[in-house]
Amino acid sequence: MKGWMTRVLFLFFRRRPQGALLLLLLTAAAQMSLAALWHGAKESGGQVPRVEALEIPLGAQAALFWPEGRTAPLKDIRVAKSLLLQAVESYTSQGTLIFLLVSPESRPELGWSPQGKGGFLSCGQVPSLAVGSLGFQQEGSVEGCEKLFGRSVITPFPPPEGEPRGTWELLWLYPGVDPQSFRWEGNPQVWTPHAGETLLAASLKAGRGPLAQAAILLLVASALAVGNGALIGYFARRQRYGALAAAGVAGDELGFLLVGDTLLAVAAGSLLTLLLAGALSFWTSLHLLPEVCYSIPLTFLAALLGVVRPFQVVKKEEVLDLLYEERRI
Amino acid sequence: MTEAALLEVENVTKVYMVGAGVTALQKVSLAIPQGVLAVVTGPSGCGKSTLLHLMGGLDRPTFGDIRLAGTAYSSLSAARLARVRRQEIGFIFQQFHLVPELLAWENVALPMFLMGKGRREAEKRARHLLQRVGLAGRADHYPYELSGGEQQRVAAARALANEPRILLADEPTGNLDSQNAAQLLDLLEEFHRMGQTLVIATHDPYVVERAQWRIHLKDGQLREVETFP
Repeated sequence: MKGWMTRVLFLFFRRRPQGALLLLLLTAAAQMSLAALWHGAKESGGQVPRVEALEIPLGAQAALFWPEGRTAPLKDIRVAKSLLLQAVESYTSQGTLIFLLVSPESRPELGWSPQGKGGFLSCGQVPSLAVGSLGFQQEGSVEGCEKLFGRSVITPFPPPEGEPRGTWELLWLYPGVDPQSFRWEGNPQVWTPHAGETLLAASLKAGRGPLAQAAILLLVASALAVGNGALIGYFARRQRYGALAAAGVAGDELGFLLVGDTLLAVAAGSLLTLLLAGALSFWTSLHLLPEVCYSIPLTFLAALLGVVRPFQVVKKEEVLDLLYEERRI
Repeated sequence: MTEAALLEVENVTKVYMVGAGVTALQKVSLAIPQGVLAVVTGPSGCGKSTLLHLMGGLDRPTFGDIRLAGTAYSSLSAARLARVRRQEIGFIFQQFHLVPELLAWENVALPMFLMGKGRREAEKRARHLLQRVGLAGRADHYPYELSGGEQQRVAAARALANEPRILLADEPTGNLDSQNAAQLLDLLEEFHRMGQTLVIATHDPYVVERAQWRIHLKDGQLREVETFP
């Protein structure tokens, strides 16, 4: 970029209080709304209100299913009292986690080498589960789990009805899954493959909600950002590019100035956005900084998309279109 | 073509590709010598502005060619043509086209910045030019703080910034009242007396009667060129 371009760009920015403020606010508004919508979508898709305690008697098999392609926030699944899942910090992109709670006396018959009072088994595509000294861990396929803990295995060891040997509180479930679908009344046969399918369907249905919501919100926010870029291009073209062309600025230079003008406005808006997000994080519990970090580059991209047409006009030396109102595109 | 011609228009046709195509100029040829004050005149829509734009390299002819001091525009790339435009041609438009964010002297200095002149040198010359057009006291004002007549005089000063070979003005008095129009014409005549070549597109009879060369256009065709001493 030539020296005079930098000078002109900064002069433009410094000397157009209303225009600069408008563009700056538009940019910041687009970025903040994008971040806020994103944050909202993440919240609605990533967390659900506290689920009522779910009682799973010892010897029962419970399963959590989540839709393929979604991230299961395993660290949010906590089983109170057991400590079995509290240490889990791994994420997995898809699959099925089955955990089995068995009575201590059943473990030897299953061929386990107990390390403590509880028993725990994870199956499916769970990369690693650190379950602590109280747990028992084995990784493998769902088929492997079924082979080991299919009905024939589990049936001999149901807990006596009405006498749960332990109570486990599942505080967090996969987002959107109706906790009622996990309630089990003590009959191990509920957890048949058929029940699993029902649960999977429920999970998939629940998962679609946040996904669709997030997609719509993202679309709205992106439209805001692209519109912002288009406005920047419009204002830039309308207010000063004809005058620059009249002063002898060449088409390619006008193109560079237009892009520079846009980037400068978005950069200033981004600075304001970062300050706002920082202030929100500092004084409130709303932490938008991570989302802002995504929304800023997106807004830059969107703003550039918005000036594609004006850029084409000035770059192709269509200076007359800038000079004469009736010919302006 | 005259050998001493500064600007030569050679058989120029301009067709705008609107719908079936609109022929704005048809086979226009003329040669403008250095140092004249010429006007292009004719009814609205006759092609005055189009001819001026082509002369100034703002637009390219569909057929034919234009030469400034022997250099054919058709032989120049867009970038080279822009450089010629910036260095050799000054423009004055009806709408003034001053950059709203720049002070009057900065508007005048802008073409000099584009040519790589330093700030101090450009500012000194810009202020001198503004003094020449009677606006020394308005150099540090923004365009919106100036009257229409003052803005057009700033535009005239800007047009002279890089000491162009030729100054082209498209309806320069079109947005001015009679007093300001007369003031601007006095200024342009003064430029002419200093040796500046001027071509003015206008239908203002007051401007036409002051010109040495009167180029009459009608329906995109050259009808007559009158010359006066």
